[in-house]
Amino acid sequence: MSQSVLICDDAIFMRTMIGDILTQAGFRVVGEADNGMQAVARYRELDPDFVTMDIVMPEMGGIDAVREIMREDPEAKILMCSAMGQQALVVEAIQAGARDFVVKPFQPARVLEAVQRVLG
Amino acid sequence: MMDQASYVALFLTEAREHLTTLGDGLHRLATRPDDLEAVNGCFRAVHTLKGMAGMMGYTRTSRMAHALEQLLGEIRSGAVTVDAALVERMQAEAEALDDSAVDEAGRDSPDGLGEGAGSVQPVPRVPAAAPEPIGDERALRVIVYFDPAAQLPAARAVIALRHARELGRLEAVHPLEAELAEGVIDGPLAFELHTAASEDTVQRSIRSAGEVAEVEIEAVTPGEGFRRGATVRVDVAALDELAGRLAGVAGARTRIERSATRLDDPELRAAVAAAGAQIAAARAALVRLRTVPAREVLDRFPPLVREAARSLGKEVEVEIAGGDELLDRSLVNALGDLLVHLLRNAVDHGIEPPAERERVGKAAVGHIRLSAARTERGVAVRVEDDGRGLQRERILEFAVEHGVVEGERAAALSDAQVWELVTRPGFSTAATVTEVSGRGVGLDAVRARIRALGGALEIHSEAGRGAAFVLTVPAEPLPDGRRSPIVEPERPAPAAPGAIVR
Repeated sequence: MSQSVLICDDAIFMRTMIGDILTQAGFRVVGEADNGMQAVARYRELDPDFVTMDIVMPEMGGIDAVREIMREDPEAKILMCSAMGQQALVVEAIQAGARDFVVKPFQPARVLEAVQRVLG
Repeated sequence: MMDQASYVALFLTEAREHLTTLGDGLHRLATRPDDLEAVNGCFRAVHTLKGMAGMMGYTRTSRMAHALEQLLGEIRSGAVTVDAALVERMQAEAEALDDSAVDEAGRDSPDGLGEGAGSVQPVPRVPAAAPEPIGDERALRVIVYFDPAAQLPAARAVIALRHARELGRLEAVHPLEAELAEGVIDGPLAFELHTAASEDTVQRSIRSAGEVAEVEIEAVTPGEGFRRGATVRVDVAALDELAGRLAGVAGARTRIERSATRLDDPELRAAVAAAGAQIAAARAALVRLRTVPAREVLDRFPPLVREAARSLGKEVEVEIAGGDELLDRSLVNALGDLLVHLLRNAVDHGIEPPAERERVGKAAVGHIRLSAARTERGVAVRVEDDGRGLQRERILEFAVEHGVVEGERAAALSDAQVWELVTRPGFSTAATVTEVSGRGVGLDAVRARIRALGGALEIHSEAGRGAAFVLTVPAEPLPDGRRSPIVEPERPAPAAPGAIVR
């Protein structure tokens, strides 16, 4: 069975785009979240193979969500989705346990490379 | 002073206790992986063992204890989950730690301790054919070049570091992770990796961080300016020179800053500010190089004290406080010697035998507090006991008898002046020369030694309540490498009540 992914981003456009890239590559989008709280809840509920996580989201940001998810599941595989100029935040997310990152605007090839590294 | 053989014997005795605690804790974890108390017990045991081994210069043991301590720390914080395989691995490491402690202690020679003041960490004694406890760990120099098209190279570097850390221990990381967090990286990432993994494994693991163009790996052998344990012996004068030069750079920066302000050039001002940040970081690094947490000195003493007390039929509990305070590394060895003496005095002359303590309404078990604290004048290392205190009458009797004080003046002396008398050469108020104190240097030698180090000795005492001996040493070298000497007050203040242990 193909691997499952939970997509977390507050922008529907970004979720759709990432979803399309991943679906075309054969992954199963099992859920979406538009803030950090929801990301944590949906992770718990869906237990996906990996997660894409936006950094800046309302309610709970992506980095806090990473911390929370890692606390519950140290084996969680999380890919950060960052805008340019967020290097410090990306570093923080990695230190919190995220495995890799991609930088917007997304190029499908780069996203899939990063996913391979996250799952590898 | 105790001789080296006694130190080694005590080290082994105490190490055995901690290793037993560790073994028991791991055994408990094997059946109950979520037993946090067991984890804490193991953590404390290896932490103490690390400090003791470090103090003895047993770098291999200390390093192994450190590795295990880190792992336990991760378990404690929840970053690592305990399973059967992990417990097994830790048990193997504990066994190797045991072997190493016995091995290094056995190899220890009587002339190895107490020297080396002014060194930056002990140079590891690398025996030619030492059995390697954890696999065949060795040091690799790793340089990682990132793809020029990498989008966030600093973040990429942090991932590479994490991958490397899964294989072993990192040292000499450049740029520092803190700098990477600020996005600073303008060249390759370089570090030393202590690992048992093959070069191939290292190569693959680091490349899997992504956007890596090239990884250079080179085995580093001792003698190439890099040793196992990554410590080198450095002349303090060289550090002083470095500190002096840094002060010079800081001065130059101030002048440039003034020009920058006058010229009102934002770019220049930003550059000056950046230089300022670098200078501050370099200063902090220099301080770290020159200092060591007080616990590395203090933690070594409780077993010595308990053993000394036992040999006198006394019981003493030792409290350690202020272990985080930073001490000038060049003072550490000398300070340790002086503390041995003060502690033995406290056990020998200060703390009363249990029966006598009970008679005067004290707990049978004596209490000695060994602490470090920062004061205005430097770092004060205190040895406080709740024993009988200095005995004014007996000191004066002796002083008059030996012509140190004229009989008619004796009564007029303040307590502080009387306590000062015991630091005069050749002065001793002990009724009997016991096995313990017989070998010690007198308080006169303690005072001479601490003064030679730029420090001071102060004594506080209250009859029947206890005594406090305070060694104050300069906190750390001044930025220009000099130390400000600590001047003892001409007339020591009368014993401060707060200085006495109740």
